[in-house]
Amino acid sequence: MDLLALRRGDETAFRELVRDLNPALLRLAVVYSPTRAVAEETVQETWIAVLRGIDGFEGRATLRTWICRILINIARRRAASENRTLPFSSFAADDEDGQPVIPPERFLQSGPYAGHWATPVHDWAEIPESRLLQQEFKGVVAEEVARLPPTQRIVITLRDVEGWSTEEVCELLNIEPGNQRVALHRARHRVRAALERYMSLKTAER
Amino acid sequence: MENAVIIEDPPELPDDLPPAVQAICQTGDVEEMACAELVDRITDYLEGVLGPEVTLRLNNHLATCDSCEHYVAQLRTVIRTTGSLPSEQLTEEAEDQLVDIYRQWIAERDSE
Ligand SMILES: [Zn+2]
Repeated sequence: MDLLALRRGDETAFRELVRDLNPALLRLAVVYSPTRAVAEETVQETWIAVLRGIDGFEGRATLRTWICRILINIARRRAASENRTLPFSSFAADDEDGQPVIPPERFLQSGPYAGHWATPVHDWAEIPESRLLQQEFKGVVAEEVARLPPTQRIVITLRDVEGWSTEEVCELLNIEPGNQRVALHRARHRVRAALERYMSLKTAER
Repeated sequence: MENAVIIEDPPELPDDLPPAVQAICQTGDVEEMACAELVDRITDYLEGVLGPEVTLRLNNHLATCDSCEHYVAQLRTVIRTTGSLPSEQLTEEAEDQLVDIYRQWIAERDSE
């Protein structure tokens, strides 16, 4: 991103930045907001704050990390002023739901093969394409992501939807790489389980 | 520094095990890694942060366990599908509104 162009008043540079970053900002804002309208307002407020602060941006973080951090701060401030309970105040807490990512009964409990699958894991590639509606498949994923606890949702959104690096996610959320991986692990497994339920419905339809 | 990996013969399955169970676990490396451990470590594996020794154990397991192979393939499908979710672009109107804010900011700044 051409920061100088942005400071100079280059509208094309600004449009590019908005197109590039707005989807991620909206996805983040939605996690922190009670309604879609509040999320959109938060995003707009963020852009205003970005412009006010851009001359002071020193490039210690990447531009998008810096902008996303502004959004999170605004979203938190709004939540506090509206007396809303924040979805979370620290990032470590909400992933400690204590649930194993796979129900223990999926594995043999005893015998020489204890810890191995008790029932086979299906090869999704064997399910005929015709029964898999791509749109439906994506819909299942989107719905499950929306149901995740906030930390898992934000981590999987930034890493797997937006394609951010571990380093950038950790810097934005101020968490350790290990904690970030735990959240990612849980999030991916919950989405997998949702797809597995969907797939077993689909295979039962034959 | 690294222990040699010894792949032993699989233990004999008890005769009374239902055929379905026998069909699942033909890994022959129960000493090495159980499927449950593979599941626990899979994100670290995909993220490339497992040590070389564990990576080797995991690869050995994966090479012989169909269910785990399918499992990892499922996770890759999850990652691919999550990455293909449509991103929401601003309406032209909303984008123009932001550009107006930008123009206003430039004008105010330049008049200072
Ligand atoms: Zn296995």
